[in-house]
Amino acid sequence: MLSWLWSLASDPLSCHNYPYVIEAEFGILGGHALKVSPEGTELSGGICLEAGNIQFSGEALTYHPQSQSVTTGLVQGNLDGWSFRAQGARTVAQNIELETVELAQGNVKIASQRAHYQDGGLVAETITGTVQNLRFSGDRGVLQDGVFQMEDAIATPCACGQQIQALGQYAGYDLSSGAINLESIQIEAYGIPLFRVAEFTVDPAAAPTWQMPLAIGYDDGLYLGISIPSGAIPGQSGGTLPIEFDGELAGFPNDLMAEASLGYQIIDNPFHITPLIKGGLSKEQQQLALGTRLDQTWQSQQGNWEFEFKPSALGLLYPDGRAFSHLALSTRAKWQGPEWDSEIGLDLDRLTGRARFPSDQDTSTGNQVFVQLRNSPWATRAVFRLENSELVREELIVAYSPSIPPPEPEAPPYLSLAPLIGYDLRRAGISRAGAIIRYADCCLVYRLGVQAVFLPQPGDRVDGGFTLGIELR
Amino acid sequence: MFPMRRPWLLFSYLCALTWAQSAGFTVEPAGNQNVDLATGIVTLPQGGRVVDPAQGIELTAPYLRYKEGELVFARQAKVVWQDTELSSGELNIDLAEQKAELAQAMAIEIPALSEVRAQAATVFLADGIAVLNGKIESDSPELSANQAIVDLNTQEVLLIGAFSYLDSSGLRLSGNQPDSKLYLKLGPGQTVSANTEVGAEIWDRLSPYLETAAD
Repeated sequence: MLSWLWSLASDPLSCHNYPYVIEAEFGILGGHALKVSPEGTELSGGICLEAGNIQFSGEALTYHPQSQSVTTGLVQGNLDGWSFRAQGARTVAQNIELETVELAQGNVKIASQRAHYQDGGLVAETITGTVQNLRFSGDRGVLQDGVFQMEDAIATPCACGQQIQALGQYAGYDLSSGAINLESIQIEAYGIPLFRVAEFTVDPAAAPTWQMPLAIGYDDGLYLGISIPSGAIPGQSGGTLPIEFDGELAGFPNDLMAEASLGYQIIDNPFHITPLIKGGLSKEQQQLALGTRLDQTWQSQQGNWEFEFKPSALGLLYPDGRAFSHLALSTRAKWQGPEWDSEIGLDLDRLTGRARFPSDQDTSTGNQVFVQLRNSPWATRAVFRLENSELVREELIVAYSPSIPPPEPEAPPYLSLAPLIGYDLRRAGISRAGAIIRYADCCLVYRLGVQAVFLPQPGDRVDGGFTLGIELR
Repeated sequence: MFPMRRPWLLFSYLCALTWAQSAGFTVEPAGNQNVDLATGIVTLPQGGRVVDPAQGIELTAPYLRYKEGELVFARQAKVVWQDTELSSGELNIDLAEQKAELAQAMAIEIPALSEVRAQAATVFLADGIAVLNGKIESDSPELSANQAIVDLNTQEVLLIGAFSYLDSSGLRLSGNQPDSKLYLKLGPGQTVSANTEVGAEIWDRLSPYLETAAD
């Protein structure tokens, strides 16, 4: 009894604590002033309504004796750990109708044109909402016991428009776990169904980023690439599968080449062990290799400084007994100020055996040191090569890259040009020139990159080419 | 003892005809009337009825004591006064000040309030104002309070301090602060109006009785 009284006294919002209290059939009303007239009973000066597990406060309320209902203006309150605001509230028998409601819980924000409180739950109609960068909508949703459930929900990562969307027969947000559970999902792009997922759990703490797993480009031929990093493939019973996939299809004037690797991460803690199988196919040869990649990233943040140390090792074994290995060490020191940021990096690289897959050759840049200085949108990068413990000047790159503003529903599409020029310090001449053209609508950024290489550097395999890409704005 | 009593009786018969009438009311004793010659106080040990036709007051009690122009004391008194009915375990009327003190389970009934019970009350007879104190309760309308001022003429009730009140639409209104107030304007059997904000005119008119009653 005492603890009950204490909880009543310590809860500042409890309607019992208001100077004037009305006990009605549907619940308790509190206010700072009370007035009864034949037209109705009015509480004012700051009011409170409590019925079951719903509670809200506002400026004033009126009880209408004829209809035995209470009406209010703007109110804000709580329901099972969710906070809400409504333009108006009206009680009908044991139920409460809320007009133009905004519900919020953590990252989740839900707006509803009308909501109906009944039997401890809230039924909301015409819903739109956001979880981090995810937008969703639906005709009807129910908040019961802290769980918000929607049927026939549409979710999209687009700030406006629905270029990419997920249609879920069921979507639920669980307050206790903070997870969003989706069931019977169909993923669509531009209205075209891409694939279906039976069940999927989204962690709202992780901001969704998305990059099209498809890469299209041209260097020494036209190529098409698919890259799915581990953790991006949804599993059947929620969560994600630790599977990664890289694939590339390249068309050359007299050949067609395909290469793919499939990895399964067995340890992720954050020391990664990823056994993989790799296959390649061209007109002249077919090859297959089994291998394992080991890698780990150490990161440390000290004020404005950030340090990163990332060793990795890849070993591949071909059926004829030959082997290939690639040992790499990437070290970075970054300094980030309010306007300027800089980065110094050291990459050490060692290949043993012959890489039979072109993609393995591409990953090698040789032993190099770079210094990068940036004051957005300008960036300068100086690259040096480590040769017999000596630092040799190699290339200076200057790039102009304006950042894309965050999307706004009414804003026109955004177009930007990011040019880049490189100068070979050793051979004294323009090494490269290129530009990235970005076209951004409200949802996606379409990217076209072109580059011409005049004086090739290590890692430059071809004289130039273009890439096409799409990513989430 | 008996021989002592006879002159008292004779004297009291005379008193009934002379003093009581001169004081503006008539006394109908139910039994003996004893007069204390030293103090002038008349005691009716078997009670009786006191009627003041001019003011419309009728008092019935099984025990009465009065002094002309000064006081009336009664036990288990029932008073009918215009539209008001009062009952009290002990009733003390100060005739000079036109003030009645009611104690020990008093009750008051006016057209708008079926029966209001309180520990004690002060009734200002000239003004028709009753100040009720302690464990105030009423059945119709259902209310409870610690202090109340009732204007018997206008059927206004001012509840002071923590209160609870069931209004005609079935709502239970309550105040929980020591300075809570509820001003009720009552009609027969229903609330005409109620307000926790007491108008200055009403407060200035009624609140002085709180202090006078406390004297």
